[in-house]
Amino acid sequence: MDTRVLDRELKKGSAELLILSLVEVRPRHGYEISKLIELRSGGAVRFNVASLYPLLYRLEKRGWMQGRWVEKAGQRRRRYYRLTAEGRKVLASQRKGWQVFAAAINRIAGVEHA
Amino acid sequence: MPDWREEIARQLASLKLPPERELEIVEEVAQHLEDRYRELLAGGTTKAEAHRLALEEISEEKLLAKGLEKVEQQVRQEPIVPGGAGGGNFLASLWQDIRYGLRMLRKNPGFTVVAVVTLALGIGANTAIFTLINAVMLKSLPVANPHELYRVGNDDNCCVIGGFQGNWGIYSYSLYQQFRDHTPEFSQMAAFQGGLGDLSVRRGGASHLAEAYVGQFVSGNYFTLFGVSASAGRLIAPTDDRPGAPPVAVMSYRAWQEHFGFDPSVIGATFIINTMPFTVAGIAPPGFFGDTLRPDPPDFWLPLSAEPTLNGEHSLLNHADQHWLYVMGRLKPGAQPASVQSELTAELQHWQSAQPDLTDRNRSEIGEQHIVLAPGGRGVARLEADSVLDFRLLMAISGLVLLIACANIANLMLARGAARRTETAIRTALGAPRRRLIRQMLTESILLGVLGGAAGLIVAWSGAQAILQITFRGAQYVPISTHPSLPVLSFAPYRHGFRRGARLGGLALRSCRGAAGRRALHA
Repeated sequence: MDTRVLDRELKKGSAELLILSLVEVRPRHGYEISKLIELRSGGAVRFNVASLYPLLYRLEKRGWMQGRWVEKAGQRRRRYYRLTAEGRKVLASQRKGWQVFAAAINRIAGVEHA
Repeated sequence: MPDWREEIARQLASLKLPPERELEIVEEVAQHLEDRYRELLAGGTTKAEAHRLALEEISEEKLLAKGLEKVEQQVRQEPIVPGGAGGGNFLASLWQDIRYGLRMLRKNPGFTVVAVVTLALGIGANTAIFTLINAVMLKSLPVANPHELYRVGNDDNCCVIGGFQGNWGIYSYSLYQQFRDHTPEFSQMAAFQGGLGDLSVRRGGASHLAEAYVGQFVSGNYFTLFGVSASAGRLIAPTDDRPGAPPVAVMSYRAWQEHFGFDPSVIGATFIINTMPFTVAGIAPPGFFGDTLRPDPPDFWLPLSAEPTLNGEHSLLNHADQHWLYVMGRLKPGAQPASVQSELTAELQHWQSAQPDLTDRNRSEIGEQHIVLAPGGRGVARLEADSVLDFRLLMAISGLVLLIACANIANLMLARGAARRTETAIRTALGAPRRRLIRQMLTESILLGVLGGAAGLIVAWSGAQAILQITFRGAQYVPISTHPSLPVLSFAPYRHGFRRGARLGGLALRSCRGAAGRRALHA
């Protein structure tokens, strides 16, 4: 498989986990989420508008996040996303699943390169 | 500050969203672009360059609309499994499931062999016994409109009886004539010998010794009653069943095939049957074994009128008090079996009253003599009565075998499901949807079921042969096909497959609770 294709597929497979993780601590708006992903991944993972917002709306439709317009003094209103109780459970399970997967991949890759 | 809204709205136009929803999205995305623009400016980028870079976020034409289309129209997109084929093409993914299932079975040969053998025994034993039950207890005679046929009497009395029977089932020729001529509700009524006779037969002019065959005397309208046609030549007709008529016989298709190799010169040839010359008028249709499903059915059918010639001083035909014929008829449309039954009983009692040499005791018992009209589509049910106990026992045993097989398979599958918990958890974590996981497990179960069913086919065929040999010891031929009943067989593996697959799917998904999260599956 082309490395770029693998990267893309991995990104798609893990996108939900990334977003849910970021709104776990506190509600965040779309731009903040995209910046945090970029920053915390050291620029390795980046979502543009066309891929980020459909994903946010999908997670919202599933009931895992809830979006709300918030107006703060002296600022434009912004739409903040917060994790729902349902989303918290999904996040916990996705996190564990990812750990199992990552550990499995590491074990395999570690053996291959030992 | 550049206005991004117009460009965003243009890209969303094709979605035809409700206006308020479109405004929300435009506002949110515009803010995102504005944030990006401001950030770029703060970083020292020129206005023109910042504008260009911010617009790049939505520069790929239709990408935003395409992404939103699936969400906004509430068509849930299947999460993409890294390295997977996606969920676009159902047939392709089904083929992928099948290949994956086969690979998993090949990877665990121990499990596969044990499961297939267990299934083969369970399915095979049941298919064998159901095939036989279908043939013996459920299947109709291979004749025209079997549902119109009724047997006069339901008792299995055989083969020559004198005196009263109480519940009558076998009759003299004289009594048959009485019924035939006085019961207009029947469009046809035929009589045939209850117990078959051994015949000594050799072809006229042949030098070899006579061979033993099985014969049956039948009335001239016997074949007409059943509505069957000759496969070669002609069948016995009423004109053959008259005193003085040239003696003719009809040969069974099986005898023609096995003893004469389909020799066409047999038709019209003279055969010496018990020292008397008979002309073989024709060959019965293939698969026709007569009026009764029994081991070693007739090879030759002879008209009743030939009975005195062949049996000489032991002839029964003209003895009104010797009952040796079964009687079967075809009811006319609209005739009520219950009223016909009463009519036949009345005729029986009337005929008995007219018999000479009745004792006083006989006369006092006439009122108790009666006939039950029984459905005759499955023929005279002697084999069924003989073997029903054996088959019930076998059915119970095969049911037990199936239960044991099911328990074994269930245990195997549960153990396998538990062992694959990690695999399921990983697939779930990577976004494999619930239905895809269940389908994969169903596919594996169905594959196992099909393999077990194929092996069960062999078990069923050989099992049915063995059961027939045990049940009918000494018989040279039993007219029951041991080919497994296809409807039963085709049902069995899928039934097993779906049941087990659903169970395994349930187990695997439950087992995901700890590893990957059950809630994710509800998405």
